[in-house]
Amino acid sequence: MKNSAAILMLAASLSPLALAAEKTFVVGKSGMDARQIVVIESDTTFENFTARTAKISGNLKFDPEKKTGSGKIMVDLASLDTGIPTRDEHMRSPQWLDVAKYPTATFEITGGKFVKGDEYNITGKFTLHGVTKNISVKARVRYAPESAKTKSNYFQGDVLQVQTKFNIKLSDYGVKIAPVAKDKVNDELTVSFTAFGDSK
Amino acid sequence: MSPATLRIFAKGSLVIGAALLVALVATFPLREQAASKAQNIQLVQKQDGSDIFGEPEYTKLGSPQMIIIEDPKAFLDKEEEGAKWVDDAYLKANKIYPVQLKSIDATLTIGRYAFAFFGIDFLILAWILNRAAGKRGAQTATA
Repeated sequence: MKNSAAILMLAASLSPLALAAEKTFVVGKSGMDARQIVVIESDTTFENFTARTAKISGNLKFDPEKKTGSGKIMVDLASLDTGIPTRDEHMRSPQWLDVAKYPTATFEITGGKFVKGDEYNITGKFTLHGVTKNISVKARVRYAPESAKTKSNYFQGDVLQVQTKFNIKLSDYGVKIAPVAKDKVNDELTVSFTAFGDSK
Repeated sequence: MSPATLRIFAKGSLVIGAALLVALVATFPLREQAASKAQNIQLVQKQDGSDIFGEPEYTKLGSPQMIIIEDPKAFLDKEEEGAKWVDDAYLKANKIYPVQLKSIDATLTIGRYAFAFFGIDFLILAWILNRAAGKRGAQTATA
């Protein structure tokens, strides 16, 4: 009986610590633009081009001890820049991403498995153009507790960095490529992103 | 149309057709020249704040490509899997717009088809006009 009580007391004293280990990180605070990036690459016979943006926002939860996490990351599609204004306009138009109707692409992390070092296998729901698909990606997740170095880099609190790269097919998300554009835009795109979140 | 006029048009068509075929042939050394300047390049962007995890890091902007960049200052002192790293910020700051070899190839391929198609068409036209001029000349002489 005494042992049971001791175990219960120990468990009660440890559980707040366990809960406290999971931290919430805000992604995309002001001043993060030079740190974050989403790169979408189209590879065709005519050229490879990238569309880029730093407008990434969201919330992430991460437990550095258990190496588990969850969260949601959103990308502002209207801010995607390919380096050619006319192409940007086409990309935002109703024929392509229709950003007026679907302004963001979202990645909701529903599960993750620690592999080794900084490597994780993450599962989640990726939404683009109003269509949601379950995807699994390899990711690099790095955590840095608050320090003089994080402060000197203008981070607030602990820092979490998530990097991943995966392929999507535009046709899977209801975006049809007109025959005239088939040599200039690939149906299959490579999406890679680096996002930073800080805990304060 | 008089035989003399037809012959002038025939000569004009012959010159245009020949010029287009010369242009077609010229695309081959042009491509070789571009290929000799192109290098396997990985565009990168410095990732601010990444040094909290150690050394500062760079984000790769797309996959490595055969690109023509002639400014040596654009190159970083780093190479990975045969691709030389180029700082995208430097290119933007100096308004350098790198050209991909595959874009040159695609453009030249389209150009070659166009030069061949129109070149042969003009040569055929020159032959037809020349033949018509000959026939009309013979008819005029008979009359």
